[in-house]
Amino acid sequence: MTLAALMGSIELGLIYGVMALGVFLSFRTLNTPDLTVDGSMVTGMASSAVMCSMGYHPVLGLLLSFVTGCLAGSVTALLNTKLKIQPLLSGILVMLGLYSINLRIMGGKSNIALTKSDTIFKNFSDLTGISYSSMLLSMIILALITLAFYYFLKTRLGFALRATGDNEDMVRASGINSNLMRLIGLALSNGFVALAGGLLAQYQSFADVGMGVGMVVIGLASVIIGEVVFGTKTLMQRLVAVSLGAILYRTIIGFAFALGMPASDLKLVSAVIVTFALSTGIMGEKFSLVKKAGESNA
Amino acid sequence: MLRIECITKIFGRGTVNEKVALDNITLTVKEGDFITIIGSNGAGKSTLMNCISGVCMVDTGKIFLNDADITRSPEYKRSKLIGRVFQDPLKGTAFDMTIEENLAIAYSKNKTLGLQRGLNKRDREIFKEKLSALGMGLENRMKQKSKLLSGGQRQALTLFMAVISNPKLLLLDEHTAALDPGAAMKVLSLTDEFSKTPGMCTMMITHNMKAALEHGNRTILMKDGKIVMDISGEERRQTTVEKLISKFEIDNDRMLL
Repeated sequence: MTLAALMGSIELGLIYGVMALGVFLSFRTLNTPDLTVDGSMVTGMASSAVMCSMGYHPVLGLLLSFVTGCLAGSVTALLNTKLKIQPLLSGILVMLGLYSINLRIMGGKSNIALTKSDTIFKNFSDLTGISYSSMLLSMIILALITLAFYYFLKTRLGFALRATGDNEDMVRASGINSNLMRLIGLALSNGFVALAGGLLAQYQSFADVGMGVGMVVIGLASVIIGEVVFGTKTLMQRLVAVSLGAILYRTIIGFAFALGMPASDLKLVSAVIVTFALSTGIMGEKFSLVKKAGESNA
Repeated sequence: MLRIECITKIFGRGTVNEKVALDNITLTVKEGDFITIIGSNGAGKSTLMNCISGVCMVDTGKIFLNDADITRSPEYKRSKLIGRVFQDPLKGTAFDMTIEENLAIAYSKNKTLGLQRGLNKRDREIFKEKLSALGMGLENRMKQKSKLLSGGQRQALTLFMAVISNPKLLLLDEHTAALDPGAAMKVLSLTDEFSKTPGMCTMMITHNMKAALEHGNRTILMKDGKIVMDISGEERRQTTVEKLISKFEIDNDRMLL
């Protein structure tokens, strides 16, 4: 793999890191695999791309991405908590509905090019004038978001969110509205996923309505790979692990491409990686037992 | 303090499995009361607690806590005034969070839930001091995850969490049933201690008739969704396990233990 390709993979990984943190929030913190991600990622891309192409400030586009993502997540949470539809099915329904909404946001076109529009990456590059300015900017953004996650999960609200994923009975017995926690958690989760989508659209100067397929699997792969490789001992370590997991995943995929893997096989490879990670007991009971032993020895 | 008026709860109404879990129950619990509730399986003890705590809603009747009508208020709102310990030690704590984080959640029950720091130095000092009073050495393990605790330690912690925010009512649903005898004794003695908290009343379900008579100041026997015995004071002091059995033909061996 060439250096440029490696750098490209890392840059993409940094952006996908934001998405992985969003997925972490639903998958690990709330203990709910949320399929809305496949739709909300594109909602974020669409929102940000449309704003940029209309000449608004690209940061405004990112803010809108975050907000639309939050809305999408809220709908999933409401389907789940108010209409009692299973979390997986709620996610699928919203994901499906979002496809049409995404097309509407994009004005009926299936893709938008931003080659002539301002993006934060172009602006930053003009501002600093250094090479790899995109990487620097993505790094700063990912670091800031990781820190924000850390502090948020250490607040009173953050505690309540984490406990909701652990033990909903205990949360309700502690006077906390667990349905509200699910709403906040899924909204934020999809907000960050959509923000990652917005960043991605601006990074590649391109938004496509079909790009969301399998995003949730990529997010899960990043979370799992990160946790396994970099550890989960403290909350900070865990968050950093998830971010790095996304970069590692992208790099692995980059190498696979360099070795001649056709791009069309990407989804299959992603699915196989996640299946492997899930089936070897990396997730769930077996994993927590391994962790338990490790912790009591320490 | 707690007033229950004519509550009825029927599960599976209109089906072949229709089950009257609570049959027109009226009960008043005064401040400082510590009521032990006995009765065979299916007598309606847990349903009574679930109706009081809001896990399920009553079909008819009213429930007042602290003079406020809570009959229709959702579980999480009632929980602000009610502390609970479940039978299953896993149900009381968030297993992947540390002991101090669990305590912080319980401690901030009646505070606004926002972006304040979840734990500060002062909280930690308070927790440490109060935990050391439990005499279980938990005060030195505050940064450990609660899943590393034994069942007894976990129930003691849950009990402690249930009372830390000064509830009006403490509901204990067979909270020692899953523990070994030593741990059960420890948790029961903590229960006695906590039940003396001013401004609170306690209800405890138990299958241990001896414990039912030894702890608390009032004992209720339930059968088929009704309260069939309610003793306190001198009458209760005169009652022995044998008398209870002969009087009510309790056919459940487990209750003799």
